[in-house]
Amino acid sequence: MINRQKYYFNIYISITIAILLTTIPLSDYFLIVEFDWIVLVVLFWLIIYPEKFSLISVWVCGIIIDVMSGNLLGQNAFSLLVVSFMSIIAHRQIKTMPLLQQSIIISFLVFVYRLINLWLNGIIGIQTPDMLVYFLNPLLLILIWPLAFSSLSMFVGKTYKF
Amino acid sequence: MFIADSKVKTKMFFLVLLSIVSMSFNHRTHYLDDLYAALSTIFSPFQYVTNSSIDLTNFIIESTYSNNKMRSINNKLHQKNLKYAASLQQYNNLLYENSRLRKLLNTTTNIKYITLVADVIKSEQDPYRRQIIINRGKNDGIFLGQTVIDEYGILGQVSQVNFFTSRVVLISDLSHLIPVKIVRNGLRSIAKGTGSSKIIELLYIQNDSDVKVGDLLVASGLGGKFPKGYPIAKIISIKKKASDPFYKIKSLPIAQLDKSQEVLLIFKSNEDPKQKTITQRTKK
Repeated sequence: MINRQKYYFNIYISITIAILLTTIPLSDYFLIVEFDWIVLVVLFWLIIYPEKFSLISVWVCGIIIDVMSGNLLGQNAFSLLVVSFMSIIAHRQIKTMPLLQQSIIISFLVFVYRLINLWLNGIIGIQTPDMLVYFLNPLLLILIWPLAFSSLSMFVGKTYKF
Repeated sequence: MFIADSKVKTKMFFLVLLSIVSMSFNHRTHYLDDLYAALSTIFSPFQYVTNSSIDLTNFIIESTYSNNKMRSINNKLHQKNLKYAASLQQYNNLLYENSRLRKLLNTTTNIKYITLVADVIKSEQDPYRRQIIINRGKNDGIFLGQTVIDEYGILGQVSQVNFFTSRVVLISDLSHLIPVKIVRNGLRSIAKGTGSSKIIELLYIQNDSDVKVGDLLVASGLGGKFPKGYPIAKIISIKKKASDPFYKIKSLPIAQLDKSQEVLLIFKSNEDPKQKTITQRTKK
């Protein structure tokens, strides 16, 4: 029982840190490094423990992103759900991949996430000012994911080699 | 090969349905507005935490300033203050003259405005949108569509009111339009945000009208949302195309859209924030 509680505690802590990271204000020039931290943390837990991290908590995380970013209620939740479902289906393969290959998959998932968001924004009538920055960001994730993964795996108590 | 079991699939189906329903409700109706405000209030402490840590680092950096630097900053501020005070003298005189002339002409006098100072907590959480969050909300009498200015000019308008914070759409946001006029000749137009904090476009100015680079644009007050006369932008480039009946005009916003730390909220004198909250409390 204690072990189980510890898991949930770790999940909460990691998501809190992700929320704090998203609130850091960045100027125009640094928009390219404004990563979707909450999405990364959710994907991490889904890959490591898909049975501990249910779809309902994914949805709640999506709603948190919506509220923090001022989007429509349910918009990021929707795109996060789709991406999470994709990672749940393939979580066994992703888990056993070497870290570099894994980060390419994660980068692709975040790309899909942003694409769905772009589509939903288009329906409401919000345009994106800078497409290049918007889609270069997931590409940069290939470099960031190994770092994020190894620091997040501290919460699990295991160390993964690069 | 792992195949998602039917439980996950049904969960997925219902959650996606729920998100779509809540999205469309939030977009089309106002039923979810209170829920949204409540949720925003729950998560605003996170913004306070990061903001206060940034404030702390700024404080530490400032405390390492040398005496000389402090003195020079103080000097600059003093000079600025003198300049403002001098122009204010003229302003009072003009105000008096204006009201006298208006009386002579038998027209209604201008409405007086009251301002409230707010701090910027966070800017631009989303690459699409030019928005800031300020530390005043429903509690301080903030209302939807309220005009927000900084010390130089109009910054934007309030787009979402929570209990202790509110969200402001800047005039550089892609979805933002504001009616303007050129001070020099009163030519009316609409200024549209471009998503860049350095450029605002002017729409529907015919390519035979009198526009010059360097013209000052102010709020025209048409539409009744923005108070008349506050400066908005300065024209920096005018392009003419033979195939296009309108000019392509770019202008530079006067307000410091990406730098302002403190902003002012404008109330008409009959909607004084203090009075409003008092009447609300007595009603309850």
